[in-house]
Amino acid sequence: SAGMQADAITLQKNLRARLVWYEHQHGKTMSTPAIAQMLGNTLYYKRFFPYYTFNILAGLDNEGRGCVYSYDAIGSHERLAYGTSGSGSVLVQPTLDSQIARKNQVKGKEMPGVNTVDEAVDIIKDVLASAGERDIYTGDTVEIYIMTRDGFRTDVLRLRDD
Amino acid sequence: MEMLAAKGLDVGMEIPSLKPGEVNLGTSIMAVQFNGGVVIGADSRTTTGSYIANRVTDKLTPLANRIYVCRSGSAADTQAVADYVRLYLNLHSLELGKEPLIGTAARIGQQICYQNKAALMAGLIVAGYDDVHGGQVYVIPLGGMLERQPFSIGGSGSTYIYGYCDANFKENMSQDDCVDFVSKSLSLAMARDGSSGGVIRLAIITKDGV
Repeated sequence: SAGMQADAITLQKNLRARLVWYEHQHGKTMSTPAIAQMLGNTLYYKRFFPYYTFNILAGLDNEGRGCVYSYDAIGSHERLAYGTSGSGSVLVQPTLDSQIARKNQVKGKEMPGVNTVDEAVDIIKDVLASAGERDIYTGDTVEIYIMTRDGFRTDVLRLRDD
Repeated sequence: MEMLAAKGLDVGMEIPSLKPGEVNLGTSIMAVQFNGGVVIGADSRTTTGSYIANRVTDKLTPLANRIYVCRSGSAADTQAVADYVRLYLNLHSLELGKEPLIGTAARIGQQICYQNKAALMAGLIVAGYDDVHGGQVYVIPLGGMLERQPFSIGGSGSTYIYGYCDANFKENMSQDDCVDFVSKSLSLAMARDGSSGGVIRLAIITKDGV
């Protein structure tokens, strides 16, 4: 969640509580698409006094494939292959369009794109380090969460403290 | 002032601010005098809003062989002022027949900043070595004041290190101690100030040059 810290913390806290309710009521963990819809609803519920947050939801869907949902502050959402948010997003989005989706390239079809987990992690590290160099609000440390059907792990990239 | 304004008189006491889109040397700069010269340092970040227009800026500008100015504030204003100071200093030293004094350079800078205070946003630290007074540091803040100090810090990042610098500065430090002092102080400022960052550019000016 990019944007206002207080709203981000509260929003995440409330969602976490709702996940626990769901598990008790339905006897199973909430699927990522279901959480995606719930987040959209939660945000639109406060349409006229919004959570000042720009969210990205990521996880594995019921088939075990990765899914990413990108949101605006009042709940409009869309499933995408990749998403960016925050003050540095203007720097990162065009790079990902170019390198992952191979858009706007003369020789786009010849580009390899992203095929493995490690390639994706490397791309994330590269673009966030670059964004950190050009945006004053982006930087210091990057926390990466990697979710695959084999499990979940974290990675940390330390940048310059400036 | 409010009374005068209410009467419709424009007192003209507005603080100059950056125009939209103007490039800002957010900055942390400092200069420290030691026995035999000065150590000057600056960060390398120039911003337009939150975008870092240049992450490897050189904010330490030479005015003469052994006189440098550390620039903070508007990039355009400080570049223009530094260029004018270098010009007048050059002409003066030709007439003088000798290397110019640091105080002279500082005074020229101060005159420009003071006479144009309404239009300029420039915080300067002039520092260097001359044979008459040795190492000297002169600070010229926003309004065009001129003061000599044993050490000086400037720029938006300096606000975060006043306490650290006051606690750690000692008179008559060695050159290496000064270098250490400048490096550590600027690192702390760059860590906390969003408008400062990149690399630390450092220079030591002694009788042997830069």
